[in-house]
Amino acid sequence: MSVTSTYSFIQGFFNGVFVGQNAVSAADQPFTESPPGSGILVVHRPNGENLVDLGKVINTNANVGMVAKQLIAAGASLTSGLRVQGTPWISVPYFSQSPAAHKPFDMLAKVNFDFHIETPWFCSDIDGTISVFLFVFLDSQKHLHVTVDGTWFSFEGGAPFCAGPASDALKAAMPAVRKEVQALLPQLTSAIANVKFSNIYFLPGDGKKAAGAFVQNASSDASLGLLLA
Amino acid sequence: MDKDQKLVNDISALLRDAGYTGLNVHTDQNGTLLNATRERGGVVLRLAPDMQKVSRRTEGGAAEARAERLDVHQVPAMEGVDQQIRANPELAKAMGIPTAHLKYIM
Repeated sequence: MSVTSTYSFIQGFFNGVFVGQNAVSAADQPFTESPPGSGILVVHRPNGENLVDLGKVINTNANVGMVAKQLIAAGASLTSGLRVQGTPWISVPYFSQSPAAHKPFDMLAKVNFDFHIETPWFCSDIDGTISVFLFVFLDSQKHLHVTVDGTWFSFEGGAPFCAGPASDALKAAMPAVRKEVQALLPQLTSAIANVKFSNIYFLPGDGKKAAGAFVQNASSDASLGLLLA
Repeated sequence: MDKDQKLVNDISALLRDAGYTGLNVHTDQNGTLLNATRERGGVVLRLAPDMQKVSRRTEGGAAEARAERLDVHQVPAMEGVDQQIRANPELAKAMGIPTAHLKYIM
């Protein structure tokens, strides 16, 4: 069964709530996708699509527990699950540090989570988000790779005197965050390490294939479509 | 003695004389912060080498430093979006692309 998925983004491309509509056909079709000119992305998905729901793979109890443990050790607490979102390179916050690192509309996977830091009595508490950007690609042998592309944090609070020290602590903690995430990545691709793919693309949400309409959140889940070579 | 260090010492002595306890003096690149408590009250003082307004939002980060070049053959991408944005710049807003980044595709 091939599927034609129409995604209508309400809060921006691959961002927030979207409405999906799947039309299923017994006939196969080649992969194509239309540029999201008016916030609508149409993806023609062939029979042979292999789907990887990144949210399901990453937001596991084990990974959430690992992140929570690391945050507690750093004096913070985890206040969300682990979200996965497809994002074009041009929208990545550190894009301007090295714009030519990727093509502007290459898609990266943003894995992010929220944290809370209790501060001393004279400062407001801190609430923020840590994001790890994953670069997904096929190599010249058509094998799938996932690598950490970069990290970013943002927070509000800490006024009047605690934002600086918190920022310094987060900058110091980022290498460990990258190392922890990098260590998890081989698990994502080990099952398909020797499989060759001809194409790779992002889908918002869990990549649902069932016919009909559905509503999901593109800021909390994204999927990869992979076509065998 | 450095004038600021003397100031910190003098303020610390004044706070102790006034009955404040738990005096904490912390110095880093942002300056020196003194705080202490007395019963249910507290005092906090900041010596800043550079007066800067505290922004509401703090952020930072960077790309991963890479020693070796990746063997990249194919990447998931949204083809044709840059042409669409050039034809209709309003689309960039809808896509959440920071305005400062647009000059790289215009």
